[in-house]
Amino acid sequence: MDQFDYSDITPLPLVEPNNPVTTILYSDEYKNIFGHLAALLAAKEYSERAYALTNAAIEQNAAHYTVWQYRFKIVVALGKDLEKELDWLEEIALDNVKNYQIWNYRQLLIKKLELKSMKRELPLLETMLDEDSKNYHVWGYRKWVVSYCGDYSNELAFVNKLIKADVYNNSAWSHRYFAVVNLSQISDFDFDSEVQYVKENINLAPNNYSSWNYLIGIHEYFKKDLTDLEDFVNTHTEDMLDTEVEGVISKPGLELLVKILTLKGEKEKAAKGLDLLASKYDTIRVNYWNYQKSLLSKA
Amino acid sequence: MSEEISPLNTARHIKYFKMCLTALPSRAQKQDSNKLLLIYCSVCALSLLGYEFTAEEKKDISAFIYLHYVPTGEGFRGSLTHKLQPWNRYDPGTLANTYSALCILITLGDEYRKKLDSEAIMKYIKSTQIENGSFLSILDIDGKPFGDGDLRQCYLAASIRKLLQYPANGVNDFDVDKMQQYIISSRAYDGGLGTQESHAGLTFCGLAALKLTNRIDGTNWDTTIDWLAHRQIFYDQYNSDLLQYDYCDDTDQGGHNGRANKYADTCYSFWCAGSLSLLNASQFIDRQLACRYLLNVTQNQIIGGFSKTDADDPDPYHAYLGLAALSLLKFEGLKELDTMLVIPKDASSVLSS
Ligand SMILES: [Zn+2]
Repeated sequence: MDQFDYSDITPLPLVEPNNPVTTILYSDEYKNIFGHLAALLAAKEYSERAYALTNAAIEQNAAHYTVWQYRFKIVVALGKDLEKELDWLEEIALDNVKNYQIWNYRQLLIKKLELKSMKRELPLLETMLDEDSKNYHVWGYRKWVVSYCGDYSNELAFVNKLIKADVYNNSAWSHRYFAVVNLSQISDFDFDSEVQYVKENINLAPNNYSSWNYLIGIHEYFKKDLTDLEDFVNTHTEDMLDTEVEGVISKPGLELLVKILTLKGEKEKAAKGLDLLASKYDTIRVNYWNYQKSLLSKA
Repeated sequence: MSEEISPLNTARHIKYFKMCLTALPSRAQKQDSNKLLLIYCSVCALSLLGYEFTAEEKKDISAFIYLHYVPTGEGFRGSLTHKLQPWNRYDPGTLANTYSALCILITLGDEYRKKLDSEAIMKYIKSTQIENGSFLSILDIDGKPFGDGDLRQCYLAASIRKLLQYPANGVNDFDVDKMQQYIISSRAYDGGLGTQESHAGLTFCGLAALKLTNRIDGTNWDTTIDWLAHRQIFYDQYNSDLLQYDYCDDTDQGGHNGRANKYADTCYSFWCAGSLSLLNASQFIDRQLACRYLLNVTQNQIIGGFSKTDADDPDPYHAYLGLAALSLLKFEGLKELDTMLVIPKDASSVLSS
């Protein structure tokens, strides 16, 4: 707040009642910034000094919607350089990884810029996901900007890299689904090699629900028969229905085997699988597996 | 897993939430904009714990809440530091704080429906609804929807409508059909709901919004139930390979995560138990293990409250949702919860269904 003269402004005082509830012990700096901000907002002043003040306010509290829309109004009113604004926002994003508003603000700027290529956004998204590869807001923004620019060309290579680094990253699998569904609508999509890719990743981590769920998900989306997976599933569940195993198995594999057996009408075998899940391999969900078994007899 | 379950330290928790209602340190400034949400957590937690507010406390708290009601009567702001004089739309009501205010008032037994302008609030909510059926957080200076829109905002809008008992044929009702379509279209391939990846918090918001508007029936939720049932974390010799993974921790046993292959977190015990309860599928949770996680791992025995994980300090949000989860898990010593509105059930009994 040192760069500009605010001496003509009377900050709006914080008036609390005699018996306040949940008093936050605001710092003097916070009260000063928000007092001045309130005065400028009440006057709807769109100026350089107001612009500077929004930066100070966001550094204190990035969750106040008004500051963001006010800043955007100022950016437009003063004809600020939108590219520079995006650069500024990158720094804020790196300091506030869990904040929602930042990404919403970024969308406003991108729309204002009518950005056509997402190239500009790739380094930031890369850095943010390097820092936290499961950040929900960042993935959400990535999905948005990809859709906005209609540019799906970077996505598969990107998720390949993330899945290679962490095969359990469910955010990456989920993004892969989004990318594949969209890519398949604009170009030829090789379903079989996609399935091969997933199988290889399942072999690396047989208890990984993320990859198994993805495998089932793309079969359903592309209307493929789940029973096609029987041989593959058997490589993970071999003989389990007959010979009990001690040590690591594939729980999701056994679940899929039950699904496949049910689809094939092999109810008895499916029931055996559910019994094993209930009594041995996944006992925490005993009620759920017993319920599934009860559905089996009704089907 | 025959580890003994620690008792619920009711006296400590009461002390913790009373402290939250008194003062918070300056680092809470970051949450200043949602201060009413913190108060809501504390008031409802105290009530769930069986604490009886004195007439004086009720008067002070409700008077304080009404100071956050914006002059147009459209909703509640989050903090008095955001209040403008003279007023304009840079000082808006937000869906989150309006929801919080109504929850606080109903829990204190205040007759808010006689004092608030329901039409103005609903007109505001209706105006925040966007093309895809969801809602944004506020109206901006030009009266246009602004902010992030997702299942959370649908939940808030549907809750406010319920708390105001707004009739379906009211002139300011929002487009419930469109909201329903938005929610149903946000179901992911693995059965959970989310803006992208399935997320247990967003799943609860979507399901509760449908239930609050009587739209939950008529959709097959089997895959959602399956996904929710799998959120409860369980490690044994058959999947011990997972414990090599950074996000898997054996102290998480019985807790819930919000997404696949993530740590357990107190709030997800609630979001998952709540979602399953809305789908009449509570029996798919192992209650014993779920209670163990909350009471032995995230309950803070020194200052009270619950933290997000075993490695954090307690905060009002996780502390309340920890109690709300225990109430849904039928743990003794807590009042019953209204799952849809996430307030004590005795408070919402004044509402018709
Ligand atoms: Zn949490």
